[in-house]
Amino acid sequence: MLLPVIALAPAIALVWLLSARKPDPPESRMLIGSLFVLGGLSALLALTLNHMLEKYTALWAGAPQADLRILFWLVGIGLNEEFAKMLVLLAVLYPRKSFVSAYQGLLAGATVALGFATVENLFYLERFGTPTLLLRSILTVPAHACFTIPMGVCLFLSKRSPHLGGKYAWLVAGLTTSMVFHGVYNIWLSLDEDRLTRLAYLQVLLMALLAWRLMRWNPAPIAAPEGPA
Amino acid sequence: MDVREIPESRKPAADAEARERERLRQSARQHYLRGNRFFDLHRWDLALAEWRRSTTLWRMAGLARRAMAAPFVQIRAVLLLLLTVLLAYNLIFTLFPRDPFDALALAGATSREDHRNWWERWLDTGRPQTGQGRRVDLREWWWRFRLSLRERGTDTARRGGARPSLDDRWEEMLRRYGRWGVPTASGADSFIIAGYGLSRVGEYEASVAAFEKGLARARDDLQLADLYQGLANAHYYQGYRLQPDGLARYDLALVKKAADAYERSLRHQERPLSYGNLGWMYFLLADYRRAEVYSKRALLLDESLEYVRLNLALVLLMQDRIGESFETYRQVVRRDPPPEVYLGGLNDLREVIRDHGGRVPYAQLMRGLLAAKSGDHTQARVALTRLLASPGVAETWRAVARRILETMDPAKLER
Repeated sequence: MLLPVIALAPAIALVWLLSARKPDPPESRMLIGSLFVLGGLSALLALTLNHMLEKYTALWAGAPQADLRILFWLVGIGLNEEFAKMLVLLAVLYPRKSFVSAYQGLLAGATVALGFATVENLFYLERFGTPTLLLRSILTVPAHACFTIPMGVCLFLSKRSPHLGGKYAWLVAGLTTSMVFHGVYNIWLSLDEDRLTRLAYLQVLLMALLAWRLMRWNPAPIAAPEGPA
Repeated sequence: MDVREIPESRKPAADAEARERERLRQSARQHYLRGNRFFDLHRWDLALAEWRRSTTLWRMAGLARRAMAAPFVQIRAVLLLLLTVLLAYNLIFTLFPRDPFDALALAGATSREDHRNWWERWLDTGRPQTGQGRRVDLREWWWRFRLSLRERGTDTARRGGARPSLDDRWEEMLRRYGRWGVPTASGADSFIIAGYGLSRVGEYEASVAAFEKGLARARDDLQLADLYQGLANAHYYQGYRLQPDGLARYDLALVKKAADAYERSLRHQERPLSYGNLGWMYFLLADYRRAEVYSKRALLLDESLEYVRLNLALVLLMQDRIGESFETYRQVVRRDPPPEVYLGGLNDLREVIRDHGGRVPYAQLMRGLLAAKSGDHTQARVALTRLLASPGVAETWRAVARRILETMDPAKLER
């Protein structure tokens, strides 16, 4: 019973940390909870997409050619997992009229990603035990949030854009950014050299700095929040 | 735009647009005034933020007309994105298709002697598990999910007196009695022992499962190399069918899996045996170029591997490099290997003759050479006579065949 709690704890702590700064307008706990659960379910969709890719294409983790392995991590796993998360955001957050600020996008993106990371954590906990889980809590769980935070912000920018082209371009930009972040991170981890694997830590640090900048970024909202003049 | 200029049918839309623009302007004005108040209170940053909002809203009021004129723009953007992702997947699946042979073998495996249900067959990618803990895939997730359900059932059954599975007992016995030494922290060694044990008694599926479980726990390169090697062997024997005539037939889908597992084993540790076996797998898969490379590498690491030299000779034969093949067979003969090596080489040649018939006439020459040197003169005579009867055999090789026949002629030997 304790182990699932250990798997859940880092993600919940991060969601709590990010929600501590209330977005304008504030998000309901119900919405945050739904995004977290749906993020977890999107992990199953990602697993299926990854499986299909491995089964029906030449791209897989053990491919003898390095270019195929790199494409597998970047275009395969990166695209599948981030697209699965994006579907949740597009279905739940994007159509909402109350989605008017960048921070709402950021918070929603991070929440979906953390739900996703929690389900992954449960798999890894069962397979590799608590030490791996603790390492993942430090590295992979925040990394997932950092992959998807730019997507959440891009969703806001897309929503704000009045033109079809602008909306579409921001959506594509969000997915591409997250995919590249995720793919590159996977590539570091897939390398056998310990020195190169450590670059994943550096990447998480840089992504965390970017996320921090985005948290502090305060672009104009889509419409005026309700309240007295 | 004057409302009076708009046709009657578009009036409601125009009204809504006007209301929206008015709302945005009012909102912009409120933010502007709020900014002024913050300015009076010397809260410069808040004032600046409010004025920025006001500016944006004022601009948006101007853009509202265009936005209103394009309803469902948001849905269209999402649909465009989905189409783009679909196109991306289409490109990935088109530009990087799975090796046609690989896919064919996988499809073949689903129809022959495969008693798994469609879901389990679909879950099987035909690739060995990565095992390094970087990623949990769908197959593994499903496998663990089923295992946890089964374990729950087993717990209940144990309470009712049912017997646990063989690999569970292996683990339990190792834990209790430590007959094979103290189990390592990862527990992977017990799976290596269990895997080989199960393979020895012909329980290949259980053996594969044991090795895969071990892979999930293995940490160091040595363990991973051992486990992948064991997995490869188990896959190979899973697809190995001994025929009544003493020759073998192979399930190529399983041979492919074995080849993939040997490749992974070699990534963790270079072993001449694994290179040699990998060369044989590629020979069976008719990838002679790779088969040659791996066989030569195995011999470079350990030149005493006669069976690999025989495989190399066979690979050269299949590439129509008759001179090199013959020379390689002669190298084996010169080293005077034990009878089982001759027997293996002869059986391989018989399989080639069975599968390729008259397309590889020189296989009879090599068979004649090996049989003659191993003392099986009857087989040698049959093979060499067939070679001499084959059309299109070069005169040089006919002469060689005749010479071997002469050396076996008892009368000539006596003279």
